[in-house]
Formats: sequence, structure tokens, C-alpha cells
Amino acid sequence: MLELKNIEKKFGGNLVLQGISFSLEPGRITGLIGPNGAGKTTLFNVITGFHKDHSGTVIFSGDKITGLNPEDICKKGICRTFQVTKPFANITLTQNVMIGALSRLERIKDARRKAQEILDFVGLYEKREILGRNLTIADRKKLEIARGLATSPKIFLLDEVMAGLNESELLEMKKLIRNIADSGITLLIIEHIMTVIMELSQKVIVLDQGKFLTSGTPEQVTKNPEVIKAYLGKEFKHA
Amino acid sequence: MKQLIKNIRNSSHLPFVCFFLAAAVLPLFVENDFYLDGFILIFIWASFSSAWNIIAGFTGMVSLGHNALFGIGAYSSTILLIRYGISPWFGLLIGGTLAAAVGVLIGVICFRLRSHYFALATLAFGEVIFILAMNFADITGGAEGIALPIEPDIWNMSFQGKLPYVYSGLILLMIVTIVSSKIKQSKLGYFLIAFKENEDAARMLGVNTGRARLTAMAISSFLAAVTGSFYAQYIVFIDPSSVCRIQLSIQAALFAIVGGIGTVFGPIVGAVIFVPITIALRAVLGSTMPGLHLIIYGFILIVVLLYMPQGILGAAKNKLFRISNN
Repeated sequence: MLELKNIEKKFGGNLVLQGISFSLEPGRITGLIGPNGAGKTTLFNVITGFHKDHSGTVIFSGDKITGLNPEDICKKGICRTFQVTKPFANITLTQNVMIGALSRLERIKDARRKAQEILDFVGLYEKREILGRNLTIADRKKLEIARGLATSPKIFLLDEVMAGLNESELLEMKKLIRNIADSGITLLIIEHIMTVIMELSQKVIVLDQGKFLTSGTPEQVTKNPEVIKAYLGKEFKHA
Repeated sequence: MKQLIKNIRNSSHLPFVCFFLAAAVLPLFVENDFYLDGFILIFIWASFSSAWNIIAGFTGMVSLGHNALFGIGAYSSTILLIRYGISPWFGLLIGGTLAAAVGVLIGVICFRLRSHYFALATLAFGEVIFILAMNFADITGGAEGIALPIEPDIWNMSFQGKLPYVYSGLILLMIVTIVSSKIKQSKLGYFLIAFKENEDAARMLGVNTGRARLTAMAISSFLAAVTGSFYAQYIVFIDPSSVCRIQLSIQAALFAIVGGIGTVFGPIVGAVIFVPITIALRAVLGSTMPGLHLIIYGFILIVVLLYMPQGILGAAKNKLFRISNN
């Protein structure tokens, strides 16, 4: 469905991604993990067209999408959330989500209806008339998801949507992510909270310092000594 | 009560339906040309500021080159009339179309620039047009300007007395306001807000921010030029410093900012406040203290920006929002 071939990206002379190749299978939740600076968000930027000066190819449903603009990639069916949430601060949540819906719909009325359905789905319906700037962290994350969903993505990339949430918010978010996956959307999730990612994903891809380290089921990955080393350092190799 | 306020907030057109009704009826009871002139100038400058607001207010791309677009409109219809005998009714459409094309060109070149860099680039563009108008005297009449025919003739958009200008000015303002309001409620309007609020997020949601802005720029330029044509027809004399000077852009910005930038009616509120002040001061002081109105402009601007950073309408809207949501 989504295939990355030999992605390489430099910031100045600094190689931040090298030789990244993997593919996503449809309808599954894939986790993307790695220590800080591993290149996870950069990889999201490459896939969604925010970085263009990279080598390698990104193929989506048989089409090469490398070099396309984010708005065109969105139209093809790939959307993402941002780690640092970017709500449209001075308009209501309904209007925020409507903008996503308008990528597929022509009429304002239809977009409003769809936006309200999605706000209901993510649990923000009651707050639909609040301005984007007046949200808590958890709600901002949900709004990011709602807006993305409104574009009817086939693949949805979630960038740390669980960072900074408390226990109950975390539970709610896990349920939401499962519901999204159940609706048939393929998910690629960046997350730092290991337990959560192990619980949610069917497959985990590990990056370390811009390189592909390993991939496999959550169990395989957690037992891999290379992964433990990458996260904890050499001394804990035998921990 | 809460419901009532919510209704007022949602039907924010009501005060402006009242405004347009008043603007349509009041001039009938005014016989003094001096006051009628005030009405006409309010309508003209409100139209121009509204046109400016469509690009600068809706998208945050602050243009300081709109004086050039106003001038393109004024010169196009005037030159077409004087040299080729083409009626200004068509001339204003031709000028508008030309300005829209120029606006799109500015956009293609300058939209990659952000905030003050964009403002500076458009400012330079406005100056270029001003200098061209000064120096191509064969076509524009240069600093001596061009006088328009004053014999009343509907075909030449030249009327007997002030009242027909009042009403054509009012119709112009209504057209600009309706266009502005339709944009705001349309898909384009949502895309423009999305761009203004956060470009990356907008693009990720499928918004082609470049195309949306170019469309807004074309419409804004067209309306600015049409207003320029109408102004030329009313003043019956144009020269570079009356229709191309940078002060026109600054004035458009000032009216919109004080009235409520990015709102449909903000520019009208601004014009209703500022135009009468200017006229009154000019009448009272004559030429004894030239420029005093600018000092008063500045004072009002500072006070409004300190206490109502989103302008008068922006502040009113926030207030209603807060009450109705509590």
C-alpha cells in the first residue's frame, strides 16, 4: 500500500535518514519507534511532502508520490497529525474540521455535517463551538485527529498523539485509535510510550540515528538486543 | 437572553442591513452638497478598504501596493474614455480585469514572501506604478494629470448633481460587501482562513494555499480597480498623486484594522469613523493646520490597537462570543 524505497535525507551535511525502506500493509496499525533524533518525524515529513530534497522513492497504491506537495498527497489519501499541534486558533472546532472535509466536499453544508459526525466520533462534539485556541492538550490532539479524518485518508500518520496525556485520556485515545483502525484506515504511529505502542501495533519498525534498525511484532522487537542497546546504551546490553 | 445574543452573533448581518438602509434613505433628506460629498467618499473609501481586506484581511498577506491597483483602474477607464471614446461602464470592467491580471502576477512573484517582506515587495510595486504614471506622460498625462469630461451623460458615467454618485457609490459598496461576504462563507473563505491560521496544517488538509490566495488576490485587485475607476469618474480629474500614491494603501489598511481586519464589515466601520473626521477637520481648519487629520488618525489607531487589537468589530465579536458561550 505504502512503500518506501531507500529514503535518504540530509540537513546540511548531516545525514538524518539513510537507506530507509519498508512498506505498510493495509488495514493494520504499524508503530514507528526510536530514540530521540532517530528521524521519525523527518520520515513523516518526507512521506507527506513537507521535505522534498531527499533521495529515494515513496510509492502509494502503485503511484510514485515523491516530490508531490502536501495538499496533493492529502488528496491521494495520506494525511498526518503534527507532533506540535497546529489548531486553527481563531475559528471553532467545527470550522477547523470543516476545512479538512472541504478537501473532498464541495458544499459548505455537507462539510459541516461531516465535521460534526467526526467531532462526535472523536468525542469533541460537545465542544464544537469552542475556538481552537481554547483547548487542553488532549483535546488539541483529538482535534488534529478529527481534522485529518475529515480528509478521508486511506493512510493516517499519527505523530505522538499520546504525549502529555494523563491515564484516563490515554485510555480514551487508545480506544479512539483502535476505532480508527477498525474503520479500515491504515495507521502509522510514532509514539514514545512503549507500553502503548506494544499494545496497539501489529508491527513495529525501529529507527536509530536515521537508520532502519529492525522490524517485527512487538514481542520480537522488545527482545531484540539491538533495540535495547539503542534505547538504553551499551552497558545495559545484558540487562 | 443567551439565545438572543447567540442569534445576534450568528446573524451579524443585521446591523449592516440597517446601515445600508440608512445609507440609502438618509441622502434623500440631505440637500447640502458638502454632506453628500461625505457620503460618496465614505462609500468609495469603504469599498477600497473592503477590496484590500479580501487579500490582506482574509489571508494575512498585507499588501501595500493596492494604490497601484486603484490607479490602474482609474487610469484604464479614463484613458479608454478620453482617447478611444469607450464608456467607463466598460472601461471599469476592462481596468478591473487588467488589475486582476496584475494582481495575480504580483501574487505569483511575491506570495513566497511572508508578512513584512511581502508588504515591502508590494510597496515597491506600488512605487513602480506611481513612477510609471508620472513618466509616461504621453499616455497618462504625467504630473499634469488628465481631466475628464464633465457634461452630464449617463453613457460617460457623468451625472447631474451629487445624488446619482451617492447611489452608484452605494451600489458599488454593496457589491464589494456582498462579494466579500460570499467569499467568507464559501469554500475559498475557509481555505483562506486556514492559510492565515496555519499554512502547514492547511496544506496537510488538502488546501491548495497558493491557488486560494491567487483567487483572492484577483478578486481584491479587480474590486480595487473598479473603485479607482469610479473615483476618477467622480473627481473628474486624476493624476498620479491622487490615484496612485502609497497613502491610499495605508489608508485602506488603517480603516480595515481599526474597523476589524478580516471581518466583512470592518472596513465600512473604519471608513464611517475616519472619513467624516477628515472632512470635518478640513472644513473647520481649512488649510491652517494641514496634516492634523493624520495626527488624529494616528491617535485613534494607537488607542484602538491598545484596547481592541482585533479592531472594533473583532472586539465586539469576541465579547458576544464570550457571553453566549458562558
